[in-house]
Amino acid sequence: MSLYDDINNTLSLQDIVKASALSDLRNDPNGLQNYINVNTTKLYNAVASEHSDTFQKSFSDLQRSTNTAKNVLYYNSRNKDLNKLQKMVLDRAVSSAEDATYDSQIAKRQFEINEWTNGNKMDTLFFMQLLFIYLTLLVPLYYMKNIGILPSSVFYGVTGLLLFALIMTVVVRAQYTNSSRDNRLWNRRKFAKMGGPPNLAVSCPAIMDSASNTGIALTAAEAQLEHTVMDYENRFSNAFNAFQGPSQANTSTVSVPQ
Amino acid sequence: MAGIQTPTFCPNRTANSIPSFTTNELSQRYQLGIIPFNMPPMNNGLVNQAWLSDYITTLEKQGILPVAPNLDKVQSDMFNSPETVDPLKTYVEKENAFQSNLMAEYCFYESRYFSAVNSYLQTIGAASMRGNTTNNATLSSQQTIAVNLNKNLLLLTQLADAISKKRYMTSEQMNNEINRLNDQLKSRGSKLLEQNRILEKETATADLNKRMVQYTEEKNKANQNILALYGVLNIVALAMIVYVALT
Repeated sequence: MSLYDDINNTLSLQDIVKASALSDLRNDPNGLQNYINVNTTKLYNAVASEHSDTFQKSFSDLQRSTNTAKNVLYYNSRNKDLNKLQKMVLDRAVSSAEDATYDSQIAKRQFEINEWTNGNKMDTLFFMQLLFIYLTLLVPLYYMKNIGILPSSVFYGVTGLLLFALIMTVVVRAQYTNSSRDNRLWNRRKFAKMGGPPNLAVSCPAIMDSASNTGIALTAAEAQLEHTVMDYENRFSNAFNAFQGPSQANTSTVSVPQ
Repeated sequence: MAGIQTPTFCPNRTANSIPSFTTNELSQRYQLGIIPFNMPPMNNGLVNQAWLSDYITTLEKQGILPVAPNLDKVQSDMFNSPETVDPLKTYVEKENAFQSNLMAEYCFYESRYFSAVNSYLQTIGAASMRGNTTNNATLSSQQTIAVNLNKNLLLLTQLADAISKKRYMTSEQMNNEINRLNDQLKSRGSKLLEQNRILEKETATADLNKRMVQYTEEKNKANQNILALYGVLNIVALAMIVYVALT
């Protein structure tokens, strides 16, 4: 007997058993009812469970994805808020830095003006002291001339000489202040052949703009400083050449910030 | 029926029980639901992806499915008028309401579907008993109702899946913007530190210069007094000369 025959025999046996069972069930209404109920319940449970499970999974996915979207949305929103606040703070910091720089420059310039005024006063005081000395000397000389101790020629000679010295002092000082003295710093002298002092003024607003735009204020300041140093070296070289010979001088006009 | 095992997540339905509805109730539509009147064609219960995408867009246009607000506008509104309602909060509330409505709609059809399936199975079971006659019209009607309800449930499940995918895509798109913003924040943070350093330095310099101005003002006042003193002394000297000249 082959395997194929065994299978056929088994299937036939199963059909016979099934037919026999069905025949029994038809003869037993209660049993048939129970059989139908059990299988109906199984089928119902399978259908219901499959539907519920599928939707529950989909709905859970939907909830998760929505929660993710909400969180990302809130995160992005807070990021944007933070971005705007940070921009406001940065703008404020830039503005404050510019104000501080401006205040610093104003105060520095005011200091220079006060120093210049003070130097001018000291110069005036020097003249007043000379005048006082001159007048103080004049009193006894004049008295001696009046009582006849001092000859008039000596009196006029000495007083004239002193007056000449006084006037020359005033003229020299005034000429120096008007033509040679620097307009910004009292103790700095202008040398015409050197083309004036180097321009050290750094444009601070430009640096601020650069800082706010690129965030490399230091780099810009260093570049400016380097440029200034090179400029200073060139001017020194020119001055040296001018000192050696006017024909070799290569001076350039530099505006002095007032 | 004994042995029923149907765990449910629907809030208004009891687990392990079969809901019961009349034929009219089984044919009812859920009010304010997202199931369209004209059902799309289904291939083995699956709807075309293009149709799903179009239908979701339609739902968004109709305002049924909430759309994430434009954050630039939201931010502007929040900063300019704090008393206005937060659109983000509104969006979240709408989203929650949509989900609740979706679940309610599913539960509405699911309970009817279970009832229809049960009725259908009961009818078939009863037909198997000896001596019972089967009304083919009733059976066909029950089958049609169950199939239609099943289509509704399948469509709702696929819509939930499609909306999930869309939400994930939205998150993904927003993630790029978040990364860009984070880079911008980091870059601006560096600028802020640099500005702070400049501010501290310039403030210190400004303070120093202001103190120097005060010092020169005091010095000017002192020199002014000395000038006045010498002025008086010169007048006295002149008066002495005049006195000597007169005597």
